[in-house]
Amino acid sequence: MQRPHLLYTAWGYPPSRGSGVYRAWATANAFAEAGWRVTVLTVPREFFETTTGIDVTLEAQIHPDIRIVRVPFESPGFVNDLAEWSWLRATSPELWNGLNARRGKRSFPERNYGVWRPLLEEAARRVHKETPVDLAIGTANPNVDFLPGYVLSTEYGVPAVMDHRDAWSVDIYSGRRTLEPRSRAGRWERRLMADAEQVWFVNEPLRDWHAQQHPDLAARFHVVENGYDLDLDLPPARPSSGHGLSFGYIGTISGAIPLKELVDGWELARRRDELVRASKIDLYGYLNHLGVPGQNMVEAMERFEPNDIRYHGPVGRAEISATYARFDALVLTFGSGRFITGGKVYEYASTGLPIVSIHDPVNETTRTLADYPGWHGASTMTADAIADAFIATAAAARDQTEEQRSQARAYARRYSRTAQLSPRISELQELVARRRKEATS
Amino acid sequence: MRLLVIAPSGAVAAALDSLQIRSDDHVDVVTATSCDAQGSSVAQIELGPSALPSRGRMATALQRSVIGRNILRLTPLDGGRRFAKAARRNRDFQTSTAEADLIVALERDGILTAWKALRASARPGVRGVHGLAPARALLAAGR
Repeated sequence: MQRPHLLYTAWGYPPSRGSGVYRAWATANAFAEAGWRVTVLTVPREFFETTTGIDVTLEAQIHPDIRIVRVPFESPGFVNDLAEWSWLRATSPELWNGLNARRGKRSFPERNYGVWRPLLEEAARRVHKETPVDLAIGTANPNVDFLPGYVLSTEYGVPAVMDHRDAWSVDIYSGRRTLEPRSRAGRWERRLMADAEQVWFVNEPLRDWHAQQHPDLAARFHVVENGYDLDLDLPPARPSSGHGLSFGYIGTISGAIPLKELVDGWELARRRDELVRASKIDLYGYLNHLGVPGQNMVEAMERFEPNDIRYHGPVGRAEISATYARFDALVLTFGSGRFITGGKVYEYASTGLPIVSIHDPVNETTRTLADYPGWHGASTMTADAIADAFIATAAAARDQTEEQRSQARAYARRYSRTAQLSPRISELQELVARRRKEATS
Repeated sequence: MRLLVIAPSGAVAAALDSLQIRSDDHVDVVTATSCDAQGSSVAQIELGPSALPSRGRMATALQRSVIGRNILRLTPLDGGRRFAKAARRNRDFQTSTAEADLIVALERDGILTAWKALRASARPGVRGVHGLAPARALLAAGR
């Protein structure tokens, strides 16, 4: 059989260093490794240089057979050259954002990204005419990424898959509905899902919520969890030295992270426990998605130094193993919400290191890590409970043997990206083969 | 290259690290009260407590809702406006503005100050940006 051709649309694709980029990079690579011809639609490289920032180490790991088609993207919301800013935007960026959002939604109801629709659709048609596409996958957000699949499906009968990843119509933090079903965006979402062959979500709570909203479409909804991509090259567990430990965090430090609670709990744990008092926290990652810290972050960071917490800035993909190798335990923290798993959970688990969870226990992560050896989650988001979790994790890190670490790594293998994607790729390969056979008979 | 980095909180050490400032660069960091960056090529311009956001009763009440926060942004109590006003009165800031090749607003409350500084500057080729990524890209392009 001739190699099937996948058209994969991802606004955030390497070298972007946005948080969802790993899933896009890994999914396109997985299809290419499975023998598919893969074309990726994304935005121009220079765009990421001046907005999200770039990670060239991840870009270097794009499968060499993948063809990248860069579709021009211009959105006023991303203009960060102050010479182009109006007085209103400089004075009240929030108000300007609100007004700009209304203008930007004309072609597609999505703030800042809807403007991409016409160019994206045109690019999809062009690619299909050059080399017929067998399958189209769009990964959101932004949700405009679903449009190439929709266009090829409705105009040419190409099966489309929505990698819905997070959600459009529900706020994954608050759990509140963000789109009314009868709104323009709500109707678009329904139309896209009704047309898609499969819709993927990152966890069960998100899939279930959408199945409740669209019971007639539930059979096409699947969970494709995030996963870790590479087996990290880590040194063996260190024998206990009796000295302090290094708690590590790697990930984007967004405004949703409960930094204040984390510092409060850590401070209390240091007062209560000698081992924690001798220990430190090392934070690695970008501050917010555009590198500008929010007020809550600024306030929490002022308390870092007296509590032996250090922020070291971002770490490139190539330095990940070496960075994890410096840690004795990991700090897992992100915003609250039952729909939240967080992509870094899987990579954390793959290290075999003890993990302390500083997030609302209602998060889906609690289920994901419940049986992971060496996991201690804060039972509530109080300083008291967070301190208890830090103290328990410090003891686990001090006492962990190499055998225990290996057991934890073995447990985490179920979270490899390959384990998540392989069943879906095989299924889609069969679908494409069936469609081709039907077309020729 | 001469940089004018505007960060009311003064938490700029990690940002400057990621900009990979060289010994022949000069950075003026404009803050309200303190700055965590050190080094021979970094100087601090401290505007004082009047540049900090208002903690008064009115500002605190407005902070409690989205509409209130937007109204606050349009009043003299807004952190960005207070910072810009304090900067306008500071002679070191005026001098630094005139000499800067690149003006960077690192925080939301530094945007208005950076925007005004950019418009006030008569230096040929001066650029002004919001955020680290564009600053990094411009620095790389200028070298």
